[in-house]
Amino acid sequence: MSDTTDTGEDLQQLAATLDGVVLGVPGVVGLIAAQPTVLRAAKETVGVLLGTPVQSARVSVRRPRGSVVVEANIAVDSDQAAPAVAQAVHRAIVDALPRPDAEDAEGRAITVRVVDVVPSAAH
Amino acid sequence: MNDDDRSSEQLAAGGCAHGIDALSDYLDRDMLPADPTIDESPECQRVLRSLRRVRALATPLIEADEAAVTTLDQGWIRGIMENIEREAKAGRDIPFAMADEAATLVITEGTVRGLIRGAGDRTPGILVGRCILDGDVSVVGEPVTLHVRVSIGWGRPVTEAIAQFRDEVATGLRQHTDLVIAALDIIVDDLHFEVAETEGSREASDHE
Repeated sequence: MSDTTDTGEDLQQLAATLDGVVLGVPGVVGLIAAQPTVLRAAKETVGVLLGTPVQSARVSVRRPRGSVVVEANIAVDSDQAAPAVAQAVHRAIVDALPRPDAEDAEGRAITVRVVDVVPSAAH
Repeated sequence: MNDDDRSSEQLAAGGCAHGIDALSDYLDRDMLPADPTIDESPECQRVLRSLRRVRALATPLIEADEAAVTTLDQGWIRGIMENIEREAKAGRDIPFAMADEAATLVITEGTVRGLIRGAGDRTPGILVGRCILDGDVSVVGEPVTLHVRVSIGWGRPVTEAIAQFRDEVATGLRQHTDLVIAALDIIVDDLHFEVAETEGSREASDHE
């Protein structure tokens, strides 16, 4: 792996960048946190109460044992085709990730999950 | 189901931690104050969309004739609500057929059931009661049989309505999934009364 110095902050920053990348893909109308909704909302509420707002990224990025694991849960516009949108999101994530070296190339796992198809009139 | 009854299963990513009664109250309050645990949960959103549709069917009837309330089978409506709540859950991951092995691209079973329910919403006179995906949906290309139970509006030509519903389901699943549908079994197991539903009122409920 070319970069072995990633910190939690680096991953958070990368996840925040990927949030923007995923939301910028045509057909994506929502991005749902990989973290449980209730847990996330509770953390954010506590953060606001403590005066230290937490706005964690919705795309999940982890680095177990050197590999990169990315998970994005998306809502898709019903006028689009969900498989094509999921593929476009995957491509966008691949393009946005730091270039891997040869031994790192197989250490990536990207999951794009369509968790809702939203009628066009509803968004 | 009460909120207190929720298990950790409901707290999964995008899961809905609210019961049908709480979501119904939220609709009554015009979704104010905003609750991110509802607004950001796709499962809650699917339940809310279905609730709006059921209400759009029931409310004009009640307003047209208060006595009609007694003709509504409250138990049956409750049953529909419970199915909506149960089927909104994410369920199994259904993979898309694709060549790139480095990626996992999937759609959730709950989303697919939502597509089928949405097809019912677009078909005049059809209200989806329950739908089951029968087969190993986690394997690309594996034949899957859909079992859907519907109620149909009193006086609607059944054959026409079912044919239209079948087309809507097929179109939606072709557009959004790579499922191989071996059969689509539709059972009309109930009738419901309708006040003349105009395109306008249907669009209004869609936009709510």
